Amino acid sequence: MGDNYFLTVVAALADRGDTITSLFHHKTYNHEGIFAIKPFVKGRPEDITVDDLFPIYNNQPAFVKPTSDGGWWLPLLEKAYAKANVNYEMISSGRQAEAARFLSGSPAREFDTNLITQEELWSSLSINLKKDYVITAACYHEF
Amino acid sequence: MDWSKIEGTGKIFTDHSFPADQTMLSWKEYPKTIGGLTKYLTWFKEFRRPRDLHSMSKQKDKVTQVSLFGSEYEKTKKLVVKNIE
Repeated sequence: MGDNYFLTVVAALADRGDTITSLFHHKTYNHEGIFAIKPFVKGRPEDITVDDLFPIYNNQPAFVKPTSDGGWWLPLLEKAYAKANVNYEMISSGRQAEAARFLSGSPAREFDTNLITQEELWSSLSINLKKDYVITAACYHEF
Repeated sequence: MDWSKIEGTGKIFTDHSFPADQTMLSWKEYPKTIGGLTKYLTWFKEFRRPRDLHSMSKQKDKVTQVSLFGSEYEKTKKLVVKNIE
C-alpha cells in the first residue's frame, strides 16, 4: 500500500500509554460499525467518523490487517487517515512527520541523516532521547 | 455526524460521505500515482465488515471475537503492535 510511514508512527505511539486508544471515542467494538476518531487536522483536533466497511482481497483487508489478537483499531485508524486525505491512494507514500502531526497534534521534525555529520546526528538523538521524544526512522530509495 | 446517536441503536451504520466503492480507493480523475499503484487499486471490488470476515475466516477459533483494541489490550492495557502490516 505504501503507508508504512504511517504505520511506523502508529507503532511508536502505541507504545506510549494511551496515545492511540485516546484517539477513539469508543472503548469497545460497537454493533453498528460506527467509529469516531479524533486525530489532528492542520493542528486542530477533529472528529472523523468512519464505518467499518473495508476493501477486501482474498477474504482479508486489502491494506493494513487487524492485529494478531483480533484488534481492528489499526484498520480503522488507517481508514480515518485515508478519509482525511480523500482516499487510500492519497496516503500511499508520505512523511513520518505528517503522520505524527495527524496522530499526536504535536510538532514533528525530520532529519536527513545524509545531510548532517555523525556527530550532529548523535547529538540530536541524545538530546531528543533525553527529552523522551518519540523517534522513528525510515530509509528511502537511495540508501 | 453525531456518532453517539447511532451507537447502541442496533442499526448498522454506512458512511455515505466516504462510500465503500472505487472512490474510497482512488479518484480516476485525480490520481496521485501514475501507473503503479492506481492499477492495483482497481483490483479491490469487494468491501466487507470485520464481523462478516470473521464469520468466514478459517482462523475464527484462534480469535474468538472482533474487538476494537484486541484481546491482549483487554488484559494488559497494551496494544499489540508486533508484526503489523
